[in-house]
Amino acid sequence: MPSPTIQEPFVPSEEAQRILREIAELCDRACREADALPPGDRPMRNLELAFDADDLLDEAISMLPGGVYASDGSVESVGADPIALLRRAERLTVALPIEHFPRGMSHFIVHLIDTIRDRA
Amino acid sequence: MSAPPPDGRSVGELLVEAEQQVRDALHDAPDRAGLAMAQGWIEVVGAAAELWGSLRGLDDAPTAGGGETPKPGADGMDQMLAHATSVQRRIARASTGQGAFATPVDETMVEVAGLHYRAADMVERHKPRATAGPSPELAADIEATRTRIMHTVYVASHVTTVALSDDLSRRSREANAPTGIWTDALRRIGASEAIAGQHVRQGYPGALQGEHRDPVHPSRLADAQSAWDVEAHRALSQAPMASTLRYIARVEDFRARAGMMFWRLAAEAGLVDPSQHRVRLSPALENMAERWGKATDVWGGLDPREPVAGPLKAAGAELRAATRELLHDQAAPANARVLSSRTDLAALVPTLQNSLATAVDLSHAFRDTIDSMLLVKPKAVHALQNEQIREMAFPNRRWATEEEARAQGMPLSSLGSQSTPLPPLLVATLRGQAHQSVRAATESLSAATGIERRPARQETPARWGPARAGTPVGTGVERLRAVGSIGPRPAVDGPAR
Repeated sequence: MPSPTIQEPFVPSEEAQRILREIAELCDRACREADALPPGDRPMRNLELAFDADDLLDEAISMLPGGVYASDGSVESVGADPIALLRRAERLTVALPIEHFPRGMSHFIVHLIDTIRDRA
Repeated sequence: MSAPPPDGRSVGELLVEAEQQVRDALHDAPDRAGLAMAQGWIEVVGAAAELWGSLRGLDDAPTAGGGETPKPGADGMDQMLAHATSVQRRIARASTGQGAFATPVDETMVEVAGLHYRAADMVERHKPRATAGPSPELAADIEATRTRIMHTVYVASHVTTVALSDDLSRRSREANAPTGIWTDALRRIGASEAIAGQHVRQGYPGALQGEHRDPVHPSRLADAQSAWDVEAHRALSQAPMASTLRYIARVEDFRARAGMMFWRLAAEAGLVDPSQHRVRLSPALENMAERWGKATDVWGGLDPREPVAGPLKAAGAELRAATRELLHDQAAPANARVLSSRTDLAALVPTLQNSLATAVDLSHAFRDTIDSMLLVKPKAVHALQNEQIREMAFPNRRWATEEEARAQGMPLSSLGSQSTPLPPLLVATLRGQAHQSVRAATESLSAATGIERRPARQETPARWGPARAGTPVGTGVERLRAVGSIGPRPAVDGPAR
């Protein structure tokens, strides 16, 4: 049996960090778009969507080194569909194998897919 | 071995716990030992197959030949059991021959299997000997149980394949690494994941709609409201940020809209004066929700995305969950009859009044938090202050000229920074907007006070189900009135009185 060694903390690759930042930005945009949606016929659904996108943003940020999301402040509501933004985030999660991402990515993906399914 | 301690949980609760445990294992799937997971997975499949078998016959309508109707997924369960047996044999061979090794079984998977075994035992013990055919509710509940079992196996298979893939990619060059077993287990468990996935795609989460629900805890909503009130006040008084205001505004918007649904159901059930509800309360609540919606939009734009404090988010999440538990009937909003089956509607009315009393208080605290110390997003400030100045006539009560007003705004040099203090120019405007929320909340509370229909309340238990004696909810308004925090009940001016 190999002797036990102290495990180095996992640091995601540059590529994985770039993808995570992009995912965080998409969640941020989805949250702002959901907040800006007019109540319409489904006000509760819009609110729940904003809460979910907000939680997803927190989860994505927590996986970035230092737990910092260095947004350039340019993210704002432009009338885009928040679900379409979350779908784009979901597509990004398959760009690399799961083991290239930090701990918490599996949970994030499940949460993201559940949100798209429940709120679309 | 001593007998396990008594477990008061229902079959449904055991299944939800099992599913939650495998979902949690997704967090650190790559860090788990692949072979320990594979051994645990064998246990999970064995227990799932036993539980699946214990349901046999429960939802069969009697047939002439006394036979059993084949259930979707039964073949899949048999195939997965065959895969589990093969993986078990392969591991057993390797651990007794040359280069033998011993590996522990993953504890989470053992616990999941244990929960399924316990559920199977309960089903077997309480199974009726003969049945005249299942009720539609029972048949739907059993189908939901099968779907939840299959979903648990599906997630357990996925976690195991992730752990095995990780071992294969990181540890295959280690001396004596059992790569052959990892590869074989990965292939077979991957095949099982596909089988379970096929069943899940057909029925999850739709089939869960028929699942039996335990009664809602009577004080959950009132407790969640109290916790939210405390955390929101705490967050506003301790170093509030723009994100704090954004989050509180959104939860208050949610609470106002949920309140609209609750009050409408209470009116349908005859618990409150319908005309006072229609003429005064409903428009006041709508106005309140709109005000908070606008605040969410404004503060969402200004927030440079600082994280919201954990306790505040947790209290907001619990309030949403407690609300959803009462207001959602599967995918659709609940009606009055569904709501009355989950909670005592008569006791809910004071809880709703208490919610409005705390909303008034919170809206004051929200307004008073807005000052020039808050850090906000420069680009949004720039756009908002330009809009404000465009709409102003000069001279006005505050400024003689546009230049004077601009001097109270954000300097252009701040545009490139991450965040900037909220300029005095916008403090007044945003406080004014927040004051509209205070007025809307006050109007809603006024409309909801004294709205109860006393004679109808006597009839309610017979019409809408049994009232629970001593339900510890919703005494807030009466309590506040007793200590003089709110004024006497205003005269009711609805047409019905």
